[in-house]
Amino acid sequence: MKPITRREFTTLMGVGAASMLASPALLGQTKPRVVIIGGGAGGATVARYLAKDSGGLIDVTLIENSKQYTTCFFSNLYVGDVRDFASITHSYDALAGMDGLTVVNDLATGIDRDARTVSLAGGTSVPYDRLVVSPGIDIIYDSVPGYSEAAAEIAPHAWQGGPQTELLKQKLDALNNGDNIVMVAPPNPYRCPPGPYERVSMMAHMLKTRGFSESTISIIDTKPKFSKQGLFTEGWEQNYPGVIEWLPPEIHGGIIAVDVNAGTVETDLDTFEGALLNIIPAQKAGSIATDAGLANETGFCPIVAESMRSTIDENIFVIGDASIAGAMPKSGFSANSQAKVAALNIRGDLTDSRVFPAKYANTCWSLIAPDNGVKVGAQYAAGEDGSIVSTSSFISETGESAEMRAATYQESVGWYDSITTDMFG
Amino acid sequence: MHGFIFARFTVALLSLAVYASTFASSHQPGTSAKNDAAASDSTLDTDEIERVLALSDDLAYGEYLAGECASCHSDHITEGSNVPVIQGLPATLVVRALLAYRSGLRTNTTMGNVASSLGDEEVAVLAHYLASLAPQQ
Repeated sequence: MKPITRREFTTLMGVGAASMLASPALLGQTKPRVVIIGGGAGGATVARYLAKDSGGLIDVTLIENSKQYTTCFFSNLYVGDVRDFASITHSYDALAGMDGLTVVNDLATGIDRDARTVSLAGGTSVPYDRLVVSPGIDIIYDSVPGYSEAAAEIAPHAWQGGPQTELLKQKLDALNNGDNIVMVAPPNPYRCPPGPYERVSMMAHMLKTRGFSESTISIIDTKPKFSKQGLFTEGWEQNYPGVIEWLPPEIHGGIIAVDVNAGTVETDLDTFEGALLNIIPAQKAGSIATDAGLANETGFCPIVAESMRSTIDENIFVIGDASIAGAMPKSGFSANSQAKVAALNIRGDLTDSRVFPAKYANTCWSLIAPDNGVKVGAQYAAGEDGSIVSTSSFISETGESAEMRAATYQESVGWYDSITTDMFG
Repeated sequence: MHGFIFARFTVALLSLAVYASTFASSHQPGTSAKNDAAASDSTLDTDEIERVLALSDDLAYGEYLAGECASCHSDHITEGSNVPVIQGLPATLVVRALLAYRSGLRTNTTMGNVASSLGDEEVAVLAHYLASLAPQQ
């Protein structure tokens, strides 16, 4: 099928049809319906696996507001001039061409859990038998004093792929030698735990290649330690000596205010000035999930570890960054892995398909410098305590050979191509 | 290098020549264990491989487990990647590789971690499922 626009979709539904949608039989439809909110790493994977594996027995609708998807993973390589923007941007054409899958280009605005419908900005509503909620994160702008959605147009967070990524890159490209960069790094839990530190590595690489020997990068962190810390610290000393300064809360004493117009981050210790501020605030589940009552007091959504089913609504699965996935980090790889478990269980619910024990995996690769990749990864399963637990794990070591680091980077190149194919076809 | 292990397959299946070369280069370099690993690898008992393969040929289970493989192994060669194409590999080769990773005879940490999560039955169904796919170019 071709992707259909909101207008076409509305026309297809017809005047008054929305009120009948809750009863598929009235429309002569007997196939169970799965609706997926969000076409990112989790939602696209679920859509593709359901269409691919359900043998035409399920009608799948993927609702996504954007016409194309820029991955947050590997976006730091774009920041560092290692990849171009097109290489991290993917269309929905292949998914829309799959039998049994309809891609609706519209914004999902609400979930009616009693009626089992999703309302769209275009005014229609879509009924479901099972719903997958995969909205990713929302940025909590005011978690950083002085920061706001408007301020993000001056000091980008670039923690959601797309325009923010491009804005950060433009501002980075506009720097001169001697201009400094200040990053505010987010508190846990957040999307892509090593991401801020890979980004700093790629920024430092960019400064180095342009010969900006007078520029520095300061990281004002909101937490006392971070992912792959030993590996990044070693890599910064070896590749960018004297360029990167990391300040945990015990050193800076707390962020008092960010002024994006003045280009300052004021802390208890000092006021840091940057020609470029990259402010990455705290995060929570996408608002459509919280508005539907699917989140708990943490701002994220509890799920059943065996299936990714919401603990709050048995007809709904929450996957990816919006979910509370126990030991799994919030990452595109995790979302892709969780999506396959969700798809399996949805097929089990709606068809006679077999359901196997949940098995999850994640690996986070990070690039410290070109051909200098590191990784951390684990296998996961449903634990006895009801959460997803790690069953085994690994991490790159300090002092590895250049050949090993190059091989790790080459692995990540293959992974990126494979996992985006696995998501978007 | 591992190349010699694959010699008999690459003669018969041209597409697998690509696999053998990428696989060899994907092995973690810079360790003296590389040649040792290849030698040890080839000493994996053929009877043991056959025993594992005979445990189960549940293709539906294999298909589910292979979803994890697809996150890193696509069905085509990617420029700049050292991740081999595994779709369409002979079942014996998949078992040999996974057992070697699981026991540490091969030392890639990602694959070692994956293999450690698989019992013999899971190794068998994965091997049968991957072998059921058409070899890719």
